[in-house]
Amino acid sequence: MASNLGSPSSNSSDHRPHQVGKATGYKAGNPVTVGKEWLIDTGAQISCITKSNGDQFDLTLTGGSASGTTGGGGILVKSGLTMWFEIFDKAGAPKSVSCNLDVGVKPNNSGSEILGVDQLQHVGAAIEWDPSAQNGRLYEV
Amino acid sequence: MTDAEFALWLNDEVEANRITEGQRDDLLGQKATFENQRSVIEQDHRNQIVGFVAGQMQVAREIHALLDSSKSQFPGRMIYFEPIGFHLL
Repeated sequence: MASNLGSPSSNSSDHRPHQVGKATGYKAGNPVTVGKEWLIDTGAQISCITKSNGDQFDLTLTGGSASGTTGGGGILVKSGLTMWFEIFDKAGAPKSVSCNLDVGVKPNNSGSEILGVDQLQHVGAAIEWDPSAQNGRLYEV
Repeated sequence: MTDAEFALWLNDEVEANRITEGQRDDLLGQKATFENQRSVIEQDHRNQIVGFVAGQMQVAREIHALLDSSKSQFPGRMIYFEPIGFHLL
């Protein structure tokens, strides 16, 4: 099976699915592209980025919460970011897809850049992941 | 995150010009409305996401549904929300 997921580049013993992608947006009117390694988190209703990632873009505040995340951290919800990742289309060919749903921004830089089920659902993708083999795929459904 | 930590975070966002004072004040105001009704919300809306926008309660089971509904009804206004009895991530 062709794979477009793997362990994170910084920690091969992490058995959660990751994929290298990018985030795009604008800063002071200029287009910005930042390479990112997404953690594919099927337990996340909303995708979420770290503070330092969010600070690289001019984003528009929509709302927020002082609660609601594991560990009791808050998030601010902002628009203006597009997350890019790769899925295999129905013919099995790799295809770059993007999603510009509002994202959560963390108050700090702890943890991963999270690509949640909202983005997978938005682009019509599903996940297969073998944590033992540390490979799997995002694919079009 | 405590009330004070949340307010401090929003103040930092204002000082960094990432949000406006008006957005901060709106969001804190919606949070205050939420806090005034927290006990009833936690009793009546288990496993739902409850938010306030422009003083109006919004309830949904999915965060983007809550955001879309709130933004369409009150464009430009801030939404304070919490999932009741579960985590968003």
